[in-house]
Amino acid sequence: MTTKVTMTINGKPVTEEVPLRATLVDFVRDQAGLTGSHVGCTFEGRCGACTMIVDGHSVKSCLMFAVQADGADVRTVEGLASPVDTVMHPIQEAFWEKHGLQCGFCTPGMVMSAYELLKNEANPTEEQIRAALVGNLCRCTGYQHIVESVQLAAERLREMSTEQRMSCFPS
Amino acid sequence: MYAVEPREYLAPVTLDDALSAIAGSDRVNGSTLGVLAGGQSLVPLLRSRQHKVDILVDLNRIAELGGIEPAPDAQDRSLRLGAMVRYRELADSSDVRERFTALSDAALSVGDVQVRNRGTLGGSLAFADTTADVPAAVAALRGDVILASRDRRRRMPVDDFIRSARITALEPGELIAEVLLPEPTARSGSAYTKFGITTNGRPVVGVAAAVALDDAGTCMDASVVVSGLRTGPWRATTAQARLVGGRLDPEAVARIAQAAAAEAPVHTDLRGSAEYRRALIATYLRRAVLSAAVRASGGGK
Repeated sequence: MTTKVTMTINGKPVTEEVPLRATLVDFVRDQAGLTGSHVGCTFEGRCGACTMIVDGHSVKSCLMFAVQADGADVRTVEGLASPVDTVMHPIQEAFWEKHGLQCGFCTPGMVMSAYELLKNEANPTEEQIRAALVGNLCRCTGYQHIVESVQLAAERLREMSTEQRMSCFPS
Repeated sequence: MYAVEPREYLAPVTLDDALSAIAGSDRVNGSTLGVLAGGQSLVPLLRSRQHKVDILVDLNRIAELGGIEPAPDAQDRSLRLGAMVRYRELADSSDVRERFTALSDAALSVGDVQVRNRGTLGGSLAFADTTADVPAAVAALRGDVILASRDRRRRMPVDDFIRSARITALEPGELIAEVLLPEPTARSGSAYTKFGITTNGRPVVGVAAAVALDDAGTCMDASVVVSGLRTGPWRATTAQARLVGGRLDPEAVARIAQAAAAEAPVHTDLRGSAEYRRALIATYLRRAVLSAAVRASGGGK
């Protein structure tokens, strides 16, 4: 059985018929065509690669059915770079500069968890950064470069004007 | 993996509608009805097909199941928490943090940010997993649950609500509507502390403790509940009795914790042996009680 679902993904409205059993990440990848969010652990909610922001809070989108997101505001990793000039988000820039990834599989989730942290906490300690990333597994980096990436992103965001900074966190 | 496709998905916006939806007799027999709260336990079970449902009733759009505020009945000096209050809200609430600290400790110790953004108080109680953190904290704070069905509401202590691991007093057609936590007396404090194999992992053993002191620092009331055991939340009644009437100095509390560990109904599984659990209880029960005592005397948070 399918049902019609409408949600806003990265600022754009999307309406599709979805099976009831489709999870949000299934919907975003297979129906909305945004394959940036990854599925690592398949059903356990452990790996965090599918992390996205739903109505202002980070969630594991494999632990939520697409029908539950009807009417929701969803932001994925594709919604971070500027839609106008494709300039990367400060968090993405920092991951690039600090080598916060190797294979890159976990990166969309890492970046969205960093987004959730930095939206609420301008000057996080290393301990806070590590605590914010507990739900995201990385099998390559050993996490150190990821932590440094988030630290650099936080620093860059702090240097911005309030208005610029706000524009980096639309959801 | 995909869950087995449900036949129907209902997302009521009022509690009455939800109760009507689950009251129909054809919908409560067997495992065909699934009540979806935060989904952090149920969705993995559905997707791994350990569980399948024909009708999924989603509680996430019911505003009256949210909220943290004084109980509407002023006679009842309690804090009312809606069943759909999320772990994040428990951790962020200054009411919970200041007066029911064991519950904010427990909520903050669950999983990770994403799980805390979705998982709910009522979901944790209704699921009553052995390795849940929140039920032990609610029990230590002597919380009550309000169970609602189409025809009645009833109230019972969490101690009676959770009968054993994954077995609760919920009857067909019933939902947890809210949790009531009695306001603590002046010099009270509580704490939850646990050992998990990974950071914020499920507890091999966790301990929630709440104490009340008199002006001289003598313990007037103690409530201690252990999580991670197969019995479900286990109340350390002997330890409670021995804590009351004494001063909560580290040596005395350590002796009481040792004795509690010796009589705890521990078990062996892949995550720890029975003896290891006893050692953990001795340590974590001591820490939880001492931390609650420090908070009761106004130190730390």
